[in-house]
Amino acid sequence: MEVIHTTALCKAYGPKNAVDQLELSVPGGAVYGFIGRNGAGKSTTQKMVCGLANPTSGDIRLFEKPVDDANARRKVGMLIENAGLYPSLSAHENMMLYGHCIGLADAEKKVSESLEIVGLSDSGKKKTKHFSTGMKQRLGIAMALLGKPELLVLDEPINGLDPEGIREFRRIIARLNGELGMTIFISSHILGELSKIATHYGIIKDGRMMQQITAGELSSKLDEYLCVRVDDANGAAALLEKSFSLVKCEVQSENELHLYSIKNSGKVTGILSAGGFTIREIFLYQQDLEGYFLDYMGGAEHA
Amino acid sequence: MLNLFRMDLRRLLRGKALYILIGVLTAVVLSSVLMSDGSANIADLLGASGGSMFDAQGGFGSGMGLSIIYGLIGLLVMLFVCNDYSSGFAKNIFTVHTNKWHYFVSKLLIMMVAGGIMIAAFIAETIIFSLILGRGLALDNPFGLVMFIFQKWLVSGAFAAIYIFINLLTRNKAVGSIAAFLIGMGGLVMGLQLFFGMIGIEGSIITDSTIYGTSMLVGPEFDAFTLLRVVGFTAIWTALYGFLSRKILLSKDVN
Repeated sequence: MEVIHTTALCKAYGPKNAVDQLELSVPGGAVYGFIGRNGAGKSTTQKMVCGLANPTSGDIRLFEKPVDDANARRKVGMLIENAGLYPSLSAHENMMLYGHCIGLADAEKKVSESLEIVGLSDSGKKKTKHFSTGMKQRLGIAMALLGKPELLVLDEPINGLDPEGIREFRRIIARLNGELGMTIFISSHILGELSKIATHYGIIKDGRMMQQITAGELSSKLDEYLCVRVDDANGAAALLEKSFSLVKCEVQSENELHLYSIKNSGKVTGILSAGGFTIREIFLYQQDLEGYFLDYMGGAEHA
Repeated sequence: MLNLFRMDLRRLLRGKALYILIGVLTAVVLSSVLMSDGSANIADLLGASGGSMFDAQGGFGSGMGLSIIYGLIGLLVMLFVCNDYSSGFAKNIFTVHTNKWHYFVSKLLIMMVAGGIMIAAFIAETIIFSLILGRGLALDNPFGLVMFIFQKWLVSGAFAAIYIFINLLTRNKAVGSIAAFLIGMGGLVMGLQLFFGMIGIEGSIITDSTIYGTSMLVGPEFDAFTLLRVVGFTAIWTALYGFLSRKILLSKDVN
């Protein structure tokens, strides 16, 4: 089942379309990483999915129902832009109010449990306006999880978290997705972190969906090559092409060449040393999500 | 809707705002009891002067009495609605509650609860201060006074409705505060009345139909026709501002 599906979704602010004919599909049980530059339309899309912004045109379906269906929306938890907290109230009181808002039974117990999970159970009567950014984010995450939603919409949730908080967040997301089967629609600029949890990706640019891809498809598209830094790259390339007929060899500069379809650096080192070349450096380069995104966006920009 | 009401009720009773406003009321009640002479009865202290706003009997400056709660309700609406938006908590509310009309109804009901609490506090403080300061506690017409209080409370719903609309429209605390003062204290209607006077029009028919004008129709003697007018105007104004508020809620994005 598709948990989120948008068709030709548009949102205009004045003459400009912040979201433009967006086609988005988030399958049930996915951790969907939503990637794009600042102003690409990620937050606007997420707000429309949560019913906080009205689409100019197009259609949004949640759990295969219209976005304004009360039953569908009751299954949604969100943390968009910043945690919605009353600044003059404590973490516990904010959570209790949200508990009432969603009609949570046994709210006191569930609020205490949620605060425990995000490590805020000892925040006492401290007002949230005195919280650090990281504490507010953690509280926002706890609030989003309070009603045990089936879909969690998160916009830059790890902003402001310290390394330990990020690791804890990753653990929570993995548990929610793996054990509870929660679908997670998450945008983040920290692509390294995103790549550790996402099962699907959507790349958005200028409000338009550029590519939707699964993590498996992505890994097959990521570049992987042996990078060799040597005193004479052209000569080394000629020797290697003679030695490995199936290896694709690209000379990058006078001193650098890339070898594709081969990972055995020892063999390459042996051949080059025997040929009289001085190897300065040799390593296996694996492109990551960030590299792919930058290459893709760069390519798309020049297309 | 009940969930939203329960949330707002907790916020009302556990927050500081209501108690600060009751503190303001206490100061007002104390000063009016201190300034009253020994012959004033409870009805006078509650502002049950009766008649149209500009009747010789009532007069505009004859003391606000219970009408002061209308301004205080304006401040409370401003705090509730504007804080929902400025804090971002509105995002939590509207992600889950698809029927935006519920937001208006919940706020309206909670403000009527707050109005009831403030009226009760006003009456209790009037009696207590009158007893302590040795002022008269004469009560000429208990039924008329109960109906006066009921009608004053009823009109607080219409005041809450217009305040909710203004705060939803502007989401601005300064505008909300000014509206509470101008509408709740009658400044706007008084200005209208003066304007009509300047151009030589008898404007009381219009101003008596405003929310503030309606609130000033109520007097210490029960009158069924006045009750009908109060119920009618309150219902019309509340429905109108409810309709407009719903339009705003449906058309404006939550940031």
